[in-house]
Amino acid sequence: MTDLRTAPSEVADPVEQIGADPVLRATRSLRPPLPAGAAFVVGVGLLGLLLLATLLAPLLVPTDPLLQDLTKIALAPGADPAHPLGTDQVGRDMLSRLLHGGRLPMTIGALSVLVGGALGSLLGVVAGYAGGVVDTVLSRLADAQLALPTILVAITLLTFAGRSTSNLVVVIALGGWPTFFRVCRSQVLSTRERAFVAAAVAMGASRTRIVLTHLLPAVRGLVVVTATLDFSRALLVASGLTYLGLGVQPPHPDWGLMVAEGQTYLASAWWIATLPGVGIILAVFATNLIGDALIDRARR
Amino acid sequence: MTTYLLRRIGSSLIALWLVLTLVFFALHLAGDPVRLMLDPSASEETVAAFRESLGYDAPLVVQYLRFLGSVATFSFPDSLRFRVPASDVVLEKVGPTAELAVTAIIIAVAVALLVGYLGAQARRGWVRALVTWPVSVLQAFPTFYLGVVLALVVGVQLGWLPTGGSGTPAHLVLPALTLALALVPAIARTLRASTVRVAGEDFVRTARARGLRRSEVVGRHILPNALLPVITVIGLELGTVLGGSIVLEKVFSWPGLGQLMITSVVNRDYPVVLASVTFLAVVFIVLNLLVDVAYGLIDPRIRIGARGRV
Repeated sequence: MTDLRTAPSEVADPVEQIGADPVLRATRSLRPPLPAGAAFVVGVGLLGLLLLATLLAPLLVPTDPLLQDLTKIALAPGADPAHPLGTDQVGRDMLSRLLHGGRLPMTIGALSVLVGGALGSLLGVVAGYAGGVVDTVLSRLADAQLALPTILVAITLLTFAGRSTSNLVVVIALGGWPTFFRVCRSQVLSTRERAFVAAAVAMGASRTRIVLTHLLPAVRGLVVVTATLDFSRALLVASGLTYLGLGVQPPHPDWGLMVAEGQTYLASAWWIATLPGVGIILAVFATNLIGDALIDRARR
Repeated sequence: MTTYLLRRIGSSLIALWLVLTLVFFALHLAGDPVRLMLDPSASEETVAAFRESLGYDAPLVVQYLRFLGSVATFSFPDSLRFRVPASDVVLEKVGPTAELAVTAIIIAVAVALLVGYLGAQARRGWVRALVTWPVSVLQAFPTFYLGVVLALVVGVQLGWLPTGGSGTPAHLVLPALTLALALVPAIARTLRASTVRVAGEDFVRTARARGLRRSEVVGRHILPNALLPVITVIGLELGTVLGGSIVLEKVFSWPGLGQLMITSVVNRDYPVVLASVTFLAVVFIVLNLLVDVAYGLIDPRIRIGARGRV
């Protein structure tokens, strides 16, 4: 199987490549039946709104997300006009915690896509262009990485190297780079056979120049699509790890952590655990809409 | 077939070696593991004695080889918390996790069969929308959150099932169902695509031309062939199964390996973390290998392709 997936003879249309590769296909979502244009607009709008709301949280909601008010414990949403979405088990404002709680997942998600995407794309272009031993070694490395479940890598690194935000980014990026690697590698394998590359070689262009000015631009579009899909994966992984207590520690507001903390009060105050999850779902759903629309557009 | 097998086993071994090396160096290069395990106020003598008892005073290369040896024999230092070998602590918890994972996979295939098949067969737009919308929203749910929502609705509000713990079959339902739902999108998607492809094949047309009933065409000709790729998807989704069960064991306080691993991380019981990570990595890689080999056995095109094309 592994060999089939990486066989050079399988090179096809780059977008088809995402459809043909079982691993890459698995990262794609089953799209809702919406026209691509509408899905794109809705996705960008929703994600933009979420990004703005969470990044501007200190301006939008002046209430301190850490401020406890023990006279107003576990107020239901709508019970008190001062706390439109209620309060949690120690009387902290839910709305403020919800908006602040999205900042870390969004930042971690974006950073890990950036790190994993840069690493994977660069290695993929190099492997595809260099071929031979370099390609074999890098491809096997990517295969090995894919054979390791992110959760085990995460638990290992976060336990022994420390539970810091930067380690969280590294862990999530490690799970993402093989996808970028495969996409770029297969695209470069077909691009390097094109006439303009042969022309550049004939004109005496250096290898570096060919990679920088001919191969990297060829993978740009695909990398953007892959990055979008990887962002939703990163959000899901990041929130799962913080839920497990492997990410940021209390009392910091964070969507995953808030679900974990609120779960104890599920029977008496359902909103503490359930509201933060809505943030994650909206962000992931919006990202998936954008990713699917981009694939559709590339296909046409 | 032999070449294919050897190649596949080779890349599994590389993956295994990589994960073991990662575990070892994460443990030894990130800081002093002995001090991590002990109380910060421990005296120098205690630290030295403990270091010696673990064999951590030997050169790094020796320790690395010893570590690989300990993995081969699955013998790890004693758990700091339970005072028995960490491997025993881990093996005790394998049962519940396996139970959860296997039940979830069975449910997932059943549900995906329905969803994927309906999605492929439905000509009317609203049936397709009815099938694809929930699945696409479901995909945006983090597994742990899906568990929390199901616990709230089915467990707390309706009171039908226990929201946590173990002991009766009823305790298994919610965690297994949640894990199954996490798997459905990927399986359903593959099943849908393969159903559409198989339904267009010549032998299906021939079966129809022979005047077979619709149920016979579907049951005997389309489904068995469309189910083949599902094996691959389950293999690819083993990571989801693993990650999902670790998270869901916390959600539903299911006493399995995931629960053990997370509490050991919090309690700094490093031998247990080491043993459970190694154990799960080995199991995961071996299962992946078996799935690929099974697929090669069922579908000769895979192994011939692997030899002929590369």
